Amino acid sequence: MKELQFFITEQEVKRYAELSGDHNPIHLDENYAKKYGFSGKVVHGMLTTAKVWSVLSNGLLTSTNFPKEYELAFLSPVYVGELVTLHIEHETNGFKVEGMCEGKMVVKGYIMV
Amino acid sequence: MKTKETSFIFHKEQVQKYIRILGDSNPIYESEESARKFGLQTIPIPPAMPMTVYQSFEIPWLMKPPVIHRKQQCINHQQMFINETYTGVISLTDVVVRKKYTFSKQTLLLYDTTGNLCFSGISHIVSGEIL
Repeated sequence: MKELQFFITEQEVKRYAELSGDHNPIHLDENYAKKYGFSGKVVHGMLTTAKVWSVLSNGLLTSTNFPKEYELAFLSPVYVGELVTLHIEHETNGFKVEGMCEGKMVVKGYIMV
Repeated sequence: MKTKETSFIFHKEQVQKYIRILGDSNPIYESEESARKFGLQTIPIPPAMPMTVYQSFEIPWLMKPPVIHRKQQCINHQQMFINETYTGVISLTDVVVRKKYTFSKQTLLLYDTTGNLCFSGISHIVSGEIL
């Protein structure tokens, strides 16, 4: 079992919104996010997914290892600036991934390489 | 329900902007030369980046807020590269209404110019009403 950590800044969320065109205010406007029951701005699911792959790839793989297939369930919101700890288990065809944040599981899934 | 087929090209600058947001240090994204050193024909598209093409589509349905991403599955059937034309379509299926929430599945499929499927992105979404 390996552990890797990351967090996503407000600036990164803004830049991802601009690049992807996903301007859902749940990611960008704290008051709006709170109106829908969140405690702050929520990181885009696809930005979290990309970051999980990037952290895993940079930490454990070679430059030309690519995922064939991956699936992540977003169990709880990943909030801007919060530290996510990934617990990564190597399996036959890839990795099982669980992401914890403040004692709560926020993402869970697998990556086949 | 489906979108119209839409074509697009990923440019080197977009890939590098995306990679900088992630803080990814993989040298295959640095330059064409660097990618070739690793045996690739040119700069590849990062694995989750194909999902950013949603903005290129005119989507004929509207999800009322809040729109929340529940689960994402991606299949990279074939490596994708910068400066190549890809054509895609997004479909909306499995729409189920439970109380005030609507659960649905959006599937993005991307093909190369010879019709080979390169990428599938399946997004499970919960939202308000879908119009």
